[in-house]
Amino acid sequence: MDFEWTEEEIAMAEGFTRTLSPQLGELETRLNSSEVKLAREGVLRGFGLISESPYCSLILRERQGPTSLLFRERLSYLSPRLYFALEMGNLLFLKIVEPLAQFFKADYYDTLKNLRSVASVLVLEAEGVGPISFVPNGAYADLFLLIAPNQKGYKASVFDQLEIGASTESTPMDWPFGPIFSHMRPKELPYRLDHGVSLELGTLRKIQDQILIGASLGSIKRAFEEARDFTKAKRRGDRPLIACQEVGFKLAEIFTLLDASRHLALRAFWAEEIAHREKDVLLFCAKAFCAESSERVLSEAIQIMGKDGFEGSLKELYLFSKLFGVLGTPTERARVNIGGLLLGA
Amino acid sequence: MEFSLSPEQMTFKEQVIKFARKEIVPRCGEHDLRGEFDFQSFRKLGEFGILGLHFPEEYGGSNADVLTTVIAGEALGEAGVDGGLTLSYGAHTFLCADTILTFGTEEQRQRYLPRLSTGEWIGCMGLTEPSAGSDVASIKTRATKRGDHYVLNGSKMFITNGPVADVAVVYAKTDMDLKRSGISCFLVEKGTPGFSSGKNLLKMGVRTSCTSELIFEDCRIPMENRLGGEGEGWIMALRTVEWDRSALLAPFIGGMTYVLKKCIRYAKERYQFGRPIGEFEATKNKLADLKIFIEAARMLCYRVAWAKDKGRPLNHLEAAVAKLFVGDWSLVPANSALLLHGGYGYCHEYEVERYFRDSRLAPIGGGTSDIQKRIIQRLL
Ligand SMILES: Cc1cc2nc3c(=O)[nH]c(=O)nc-3n(C[C@H](O)[C@H](O)[C@H](O)COP(=O)(O)OP(=O)(O)OC[C@H]3O[C@@H](n4cnc5c(N)ncnc54)[C@H](O)[C@@H]3O)c2cc1C
Repeated sequence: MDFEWTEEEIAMAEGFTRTLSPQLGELETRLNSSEVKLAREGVLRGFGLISESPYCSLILRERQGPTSLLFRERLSYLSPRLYFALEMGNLLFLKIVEPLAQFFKADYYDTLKNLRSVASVLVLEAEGVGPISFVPNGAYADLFLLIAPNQKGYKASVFDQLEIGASTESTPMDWPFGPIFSHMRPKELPYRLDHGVSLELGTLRKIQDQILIGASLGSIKRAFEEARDFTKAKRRGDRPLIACQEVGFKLAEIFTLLDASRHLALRAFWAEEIAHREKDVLLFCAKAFCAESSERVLSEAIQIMGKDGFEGSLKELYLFSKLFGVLGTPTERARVNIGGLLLGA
Repeated sequence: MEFSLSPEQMTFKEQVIKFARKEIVPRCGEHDLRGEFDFQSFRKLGEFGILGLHFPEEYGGSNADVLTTVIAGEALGEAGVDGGLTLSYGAHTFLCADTILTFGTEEQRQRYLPRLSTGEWIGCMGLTEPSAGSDVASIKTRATKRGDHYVLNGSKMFITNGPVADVAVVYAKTDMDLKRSGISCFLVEKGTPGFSSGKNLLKMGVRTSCTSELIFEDCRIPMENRLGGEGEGWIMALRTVEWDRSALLAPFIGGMTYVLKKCIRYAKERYQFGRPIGEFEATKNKLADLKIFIEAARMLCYRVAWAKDKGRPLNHLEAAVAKLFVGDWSLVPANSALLLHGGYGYCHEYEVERYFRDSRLAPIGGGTSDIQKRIIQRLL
C-alpha cells in the first residue's frame, strides 16, 4: 500500500501547473468571452500549453490510473472551462474513436490528438433529431462526434461543422456554461448514422464520469482554498474569521470532504487501472460522492464568505458543481447502479 | 499510489474473519442483551494473537505492522463481532498496552506485556474525568510525590474495561500549577489499596464493554510505576490518540461491511408488493449509502496506518480527518441499514439496531467530532 505520489509524478504535475498558471488570466478572458471566435482562440491557446505536458497521454491510456486524476484535479482547479473544452471535447472524442479508429478517416486524428483542432461530442438520447444542450465546444469545434440511437442501439458517427450545421444551429449557453457549452440542433443525418459505429452508452457514461470526478475534485479544492484564504484575511473583532468556530468548523468539514472524495476517487481510478473486480461499483461510488460533495462544499464555502462568495469564481463554480451531478451518470442513477451491482443485478 | 493489500494481509484477514465467526460472533448477541463483558471471547482474542499483534515477539506479540493491525480490527467488525468487544480490545491493546510498550521501562514491559498479550490480564486507560473530557489539560486527579512513592487522589470517568481491568494506565497531575506539562502517567494495579472502580455504566451501545469510574483515594503508587518521565503524560496521551483514530476506527468500518452484507441478503429475501425490496430504487439507494461510506472511510483509516508504518511523526490532520469522517458520516448509512430492514431492523435479532447503537460512539469516544474539527481548524 502506498499513499504517496512519486517524485516524478509530483515534478510532472508541478511543471504542468507552472506552464499554465501565468497564462491563465488572459486565457480566462477569452474562454469567458461572448464572442465565439475569441473563445475558440482561448481554447486553442490553452490546448497549446497543455499539449506540452503528459496530460493527454495519461488520459488516453486504455487503463488510466490515479496519476491521471492528479492532472485532472489540477486543470479543473485552474480552469474549469478549459478542462471541459479539453476533456468533454477532444479527449472524450478521441477516447471513443480510438478503439474504432479503423472506421474513421484518420487524417483529422493527429491534429486532434496534438490539440491543434477542437472536437465536440453530442449525444442524442432519443431517436430523431432534437435540440441538445451542454454540447461541449459546440459553437466552434472543427469536428463533431454524434452519438445517437437507431433501432439497434447507439451509433457514433463523425461530422464536420458544415455537415452537422454547427454554424447555423448552435448557440452558446448562458453564463457560466457558455461559450464552452452550447445548445445545438443538429441537422437530420440518419443516412450517415446508419454507417456509424455501434457504441455502448455505458462506455460513454463511464468516460464522462471519470471526467466529472476530476471536475468535482478541482472545484472542491478551489472552494476550500478560497474560503480558507478569505477567512484568514478577514477579521471579526480582533481575530481572523477562521478562528470563529462556526466558520472554522465548516472549513474543517469541507477539508474532510475534499480528503475523503479525493481518496475515494483515487481508489476508483486505481481499481480501474488494475481491472479490479469492483472497478465499476467504485467508479459509481466516486462519481456520486464527489459530485454531491462538490455541490455541498461550494454551497458551504459561499456561506462562509457571505456576499463576497458571490463575487469571485465560486459563484460560477457553484453552478458548475450542480452540473457534475447531472451530467454523465446522474447522481441518483449512479446510486441505483451501485445498489444494483451489489445485489448482483 | 497503490492500494492493494499484500497476499499475506489478505490471508490473515480471512483467517481473522473465520476465527471470529466461529469463536466469538455466536456469543455477541446474548452478551449485548445482558450488557455483559465476555471474558471467554476476550481470552480467545488473546489466544489467537490479536491482543498483542503489533508487539515484539519477546512480549508475546507477532511484530505486525500497523496496517496489518488495523486490518485485524476491520476483520473483527466484518465478521460480525459487536462494537463492545472490539472497543474493549482497543482500549486494552492500544490505549493501555501500547503505552507501556512505547514508554515503559524494560521491567515494566516484562511485567505487563506478556500477560496483556495473552489476555490473562486486562488493561484500561484512564484519562477522562467527571469534569474533564474534551479539555484534557484540565484534569484534576493529583499525584503527589512522597518519598519513594506517589499518592493518587481523584477520579476518572467513562473508563472502558474499568470494572474488569487488572492494570490501568492513569494520567494525573504531578504539578497542579501547570496545564499540559503538569500531566504524568502511572500504572495502577487492581487491588492496590485506595484504588477502586465504580459500577458498570448502563450505555446505549457498545454494551459488552464495561465502562466505569476509577476512584483513587490516597492510593499509594511506587515510584517505579510511573510510566515515562514526570510531565510527559500529555505527549504520551497524544500518541495514543493516533491509535484511537486508526486501529480503533477499523472495527466500525468492518462492522459497516458486515451490515452491508446483511442488507444485501435482506434486500433479496424480503418481498413486498410481489417482489424483492432490492428491486426498489430506494433500497438500492440505501445500499449505496453504505458502500460509499465504507470505501471512503477505509481509505482514510488505512492512510493513518500507512503513515504510522512509515514512521511519520504525529499525523494529527490525517488522523482527525479519519476520525471525523467515521464519526459524522456514519450516521446516515447506519440509519439507512436500519430502515432497510423495516420493523425487523428495530428488533435485536437482526443485529442492525445493535450496530446503529454501537456506531453512535464513533463521534464521541477518543475525542468528539467537535474536537476533531477544532484540530483540523487549527491545522488549516
Ligand atoms: C463508551 C465510552 C467509552 C470511553 N472510554 C474511555 C476510556 O477508556 N478512557 C478515557 O479516558 N475516556 C473514555 N471515554 C471518554 C471519552 O473520551 C469522552 O467522553 C470524550 O472525550 C468527550 O468528553 P466528555 O464526555 O466529557 O464531553 P465534553 O468534553 O463535556 O463535551 C460535551 C459536548 O461539548 C462539546 N465540546 C467540548 N469542548 C468543545 C470545544 N472546545 N468546542 C466545541 N465543542 C466542544 C463536545 O463536542 C460535546 O458535544 C469513553 C467514553 C464513552 C462514551
